[in-house]
Amino acid sequence: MKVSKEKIVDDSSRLLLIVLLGFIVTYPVRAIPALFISKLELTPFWQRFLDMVPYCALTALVFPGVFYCVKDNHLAACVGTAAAILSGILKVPFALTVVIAVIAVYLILVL
Amino acid sequence: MDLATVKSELFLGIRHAIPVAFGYIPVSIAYAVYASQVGFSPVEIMLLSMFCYSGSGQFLAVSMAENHAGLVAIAIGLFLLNFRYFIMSTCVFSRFEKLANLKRIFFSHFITDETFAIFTTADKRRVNSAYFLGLFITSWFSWCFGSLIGVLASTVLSPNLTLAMGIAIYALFIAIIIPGCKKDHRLGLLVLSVIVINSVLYHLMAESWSVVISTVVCSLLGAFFIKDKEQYGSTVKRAER
Repeated sequence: MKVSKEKIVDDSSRLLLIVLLGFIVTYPVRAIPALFISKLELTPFWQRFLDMVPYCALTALVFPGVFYCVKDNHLAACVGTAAAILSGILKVPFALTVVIAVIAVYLILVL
Repeated sequence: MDLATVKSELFLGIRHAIPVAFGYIPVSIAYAVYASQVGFSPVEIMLLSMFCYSGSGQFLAVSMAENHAGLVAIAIGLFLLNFRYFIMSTCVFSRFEKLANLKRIFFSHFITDETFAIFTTADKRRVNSAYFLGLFITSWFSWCFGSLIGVLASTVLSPNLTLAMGIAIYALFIAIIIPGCKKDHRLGLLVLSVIVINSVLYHLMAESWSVVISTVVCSLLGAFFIKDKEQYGSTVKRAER
């Protein structure tokens, strides 16, 4: 992470355009299915497909990305992951699991 | 729904947003710190959080700006990265039998990985506007609140803490996945297959694509092989927390 106080990008009108793009490109992706899905009759197969999406999507978002989420420190990432999995198995509340994982990573980073 | 139910569903939604907020606040702080260093103004940082409202998308936009990428490249990158919202939004809104179009237009903006995760693994009695509003709007506020803290505190946070907070969202997802897998081992097997397939694809293509492809492939597998699973929310009922 950069610590210098120097601004890396100075062209402020361009940054505002990027902010605008962030909305224009992201919103339709969310809104189009929301508006049109109710018009479709889903067969049981596709209903089951959509029921499977949450678990598959979440898993794909976590693995293997989580092992690279702490820059240059795979050990810290692995310890954090292990802490989260263990908390999950022990039925620790969601919010506390998050705190435990962050603390685990932080401890490996500073120790 | 009568007023008392609306109220209780709304508060239940707000309560279920608490773990999301715990995941969001550290990540949005990290985002805001990063964006300030790149040169985004506090107003721009807040606007991006309010209207793009996509953690990975915002990190991508900021890092591409930092590398002086063109606007078209940024637009394409954002679109590809956020294409998964297309599937998530389909999934969320297919659960509502009746919902006014105006609500769909408003609600859909608040679809994210995290809110999607909570909503689609919750009991099916939670499929109502009041719960949706409570969960999704509270989550959105926590994301904006975290960004604000990041803007204000960008110079005082220790780099190690900012780095450690990067694991927050992953930990939340792990916490959501595990109870379902413990309850239904076929789901656990499916999750394993996602890990294997995505770990291979991850090294072959951009991460945003590997996520979309392994989600679609494994959901198809699941739809083929897990047939007696009751409607969502009943087999994988989450403990009320």
